[in-house]
Amino acid sequence: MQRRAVILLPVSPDTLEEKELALVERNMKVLESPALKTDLESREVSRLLDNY
Amino acid sequence: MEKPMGWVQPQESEMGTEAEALRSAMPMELEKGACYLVKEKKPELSFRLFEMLLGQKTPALCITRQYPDRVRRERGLAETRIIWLSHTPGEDFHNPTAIGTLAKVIQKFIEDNNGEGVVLLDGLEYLIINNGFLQTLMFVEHVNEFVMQRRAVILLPVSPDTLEEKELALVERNMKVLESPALKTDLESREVSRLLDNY
Repeated sequence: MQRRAVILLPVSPDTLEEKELALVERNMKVLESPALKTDLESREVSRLLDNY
Repeated sequence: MEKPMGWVQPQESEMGTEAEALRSAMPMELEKGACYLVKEKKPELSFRLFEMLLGQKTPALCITRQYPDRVRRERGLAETRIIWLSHTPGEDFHNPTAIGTLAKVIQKFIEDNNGEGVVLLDGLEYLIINNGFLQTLMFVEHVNEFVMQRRAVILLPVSPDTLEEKELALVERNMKVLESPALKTDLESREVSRLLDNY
């Protein structure tokens, strides 16, 4: 929080109870898998097209 | 009758002008001298309420688990005192295990403003992690008791999934509860009205 670094913390939601997951999520920025995957793939396609 | 801080409710209001009719159609009102539990996953709406009260020149104190510089930058709260709930010593931090002194900080802020003001307490879950549920509940009830006798408002966002059903019911028991979708609709209607008024 006080620095300019980034922590990536993958988690399988099914491994946690609903309450545990909610507690982990509470003070973090959450990236959801399908939306993130689509976004990353779009970027990769764009990059490939740019370099074509 | 106590003058509301800006949030109006349909009951007890006489239908006067068209504007009054519109206002009275709004689902909620923030009364002074009350604690509001805002049920939402992230404290987005609580911050918006806080900012709206701040816009009405209400003295404001923000206590949060989020890093103060980020809150200032993202929320434009340059002049507002922000206390960071953290174990890391720094400027205006507060140890989350010291809930006795946290209550005193809130009380002093309200007393210094003649019993008025708005306090956003974002981080109830973090206080529970550090102090246990019952102790945190006692802290909340203590602050609630203090505020009841004054004209201040406490905004207390909570992510409902982080609590057991019984725990949530206990926190809700002596507080006014604002539910996320209704509150969001209300705030957005007000923002649209304000934009149209200024158009």
